[in-house]
Amino acid sequence: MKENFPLNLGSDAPMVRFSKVTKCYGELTVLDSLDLDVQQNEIVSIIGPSGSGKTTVLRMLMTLEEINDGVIYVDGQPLTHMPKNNELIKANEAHLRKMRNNIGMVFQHFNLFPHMTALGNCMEAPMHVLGMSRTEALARSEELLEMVGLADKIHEHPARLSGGQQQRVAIARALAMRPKILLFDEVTSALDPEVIGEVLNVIRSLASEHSLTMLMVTHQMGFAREISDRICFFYEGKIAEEGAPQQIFENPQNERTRQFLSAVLDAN
Amino acid sequence: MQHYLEYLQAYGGRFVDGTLVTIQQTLLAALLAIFVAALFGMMRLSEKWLIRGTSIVYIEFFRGTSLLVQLYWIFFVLPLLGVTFDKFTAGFVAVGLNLGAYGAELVRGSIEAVPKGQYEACHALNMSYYKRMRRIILPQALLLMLPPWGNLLIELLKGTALVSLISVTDLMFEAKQINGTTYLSAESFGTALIIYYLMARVVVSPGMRAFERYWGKKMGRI
Amino acid sequence: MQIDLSAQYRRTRELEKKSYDDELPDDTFHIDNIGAHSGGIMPHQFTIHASA
Repeated sequence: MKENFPLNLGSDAPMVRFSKVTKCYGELTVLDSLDLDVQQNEIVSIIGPSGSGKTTVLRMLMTLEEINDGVIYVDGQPLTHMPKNNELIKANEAHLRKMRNNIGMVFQHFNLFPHMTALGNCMEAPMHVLGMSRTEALARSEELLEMVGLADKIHEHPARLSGGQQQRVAIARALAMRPKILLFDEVTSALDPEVIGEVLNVIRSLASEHSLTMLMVTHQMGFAREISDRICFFYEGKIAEEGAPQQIFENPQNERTRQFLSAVLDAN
Repeated sequence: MQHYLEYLQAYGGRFVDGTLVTIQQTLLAALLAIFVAALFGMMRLSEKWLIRGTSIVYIEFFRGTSLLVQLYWIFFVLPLLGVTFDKFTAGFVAVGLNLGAYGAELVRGSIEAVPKGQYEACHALNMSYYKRMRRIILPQALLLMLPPWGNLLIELLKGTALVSLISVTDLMFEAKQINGTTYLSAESFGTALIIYYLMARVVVSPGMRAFERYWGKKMGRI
Repeated sequence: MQIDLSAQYRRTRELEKKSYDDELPDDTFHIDNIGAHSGGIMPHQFTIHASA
């Protein structure tokens, strides 16, 4: 039961709202009463040292992790909870499945299905989750794979694709479900430097999309600065500082932000 | 050599009959074992304690007690409780239930060995439990569990020799009978030994390897 | 190449509505804790002894 949390956020709600969200692993508090709003079509990058809870934010939103306290809202509706008798109770699986369709995720290690071709990976969920016809799923998947520059690789299995190509398939696969929100979890961290550009180019091309809200955890500071509407700097389970890219990178107010940025930018 | 040929001439037919019964026992027991293994292996991973507990009790019981005792129970004791099997059925049921318990652990282990990222990808694509298992997890788990299943099926084939003790007329039963009338122990049990070996090494092992290659190709393994 | 992503978007919302109207949740039987040990036990590490 949740008191003091609204059952929904009304019509002008942000696309995502974290409201006093707390996440603990045993004794360790990973996120401490986090408040974060992401507006529709906004691109928000989350940066910060490892262990600061930034990946956990994405995983909670994807409902891969349960939260210990607070409420997450998506598109005005509660995600982690559901209304019953004018109160919010913990969401059941049916509610989660309904809400989860709003959200897609691209993983650090791609997580493609190894026994399916690039095309098969993209067609899987539209056909077997949305119930789309094979013809329609095929057309959509071909379009998306062409958009990510893999028109000539659609019949290849993941094992025959490079890391950059696999990650582009993974982006097409997530897009095939047309989520309202797309999460990128360190999507270039497992890639060789020479193929990072091709993946970033695909994400860049999505940035102009009018029906996609993006939330990304990244170590690519230059890219984050270029593409984001807003940067959140996480430190020890809290947002230590947030603001427009220019402000964060050129004129950080928080001492931790300054230290982190100088360490990261020196290393590059 | 001459002597052995004469022996085979006289008793070869009975060895063939026995071998056919052993093959039937093996096939039926294998089907049962696979079914039982899939069922209890997946139940073993349920988050509902009652389902998981049932599976654990089953696996522990059948792995923890002797196959021969289980066979005797099914054939001699269950009738006292009102459940009667003919000896042929009792034979493959006992072997199938016993080896199925080992198979259940293979199923469980291989499902757990499918990388965590695969579950997360299914989750992110909003696949239901059933779709996720059938379309993504089990096909990959099957590839992982095929090599140990090859061993298990050989164990199962050899395990069927025990059904001779409830007088199912399998290969072992015929060998004992022939030995009893001829006292030619080396020939009788030697022939049985060779036939069991050939069935295991010439039929089961290559068959499983061929299936592994086929499935590996289907799974995009290069 | 430019593709009409917004058409896909609309179509998806349409299908979504349909698929959830006629589908019951089937996650009552649920595997938990899987992959908590990914890369852990491999099945061929099990030993098999069919004891007589």
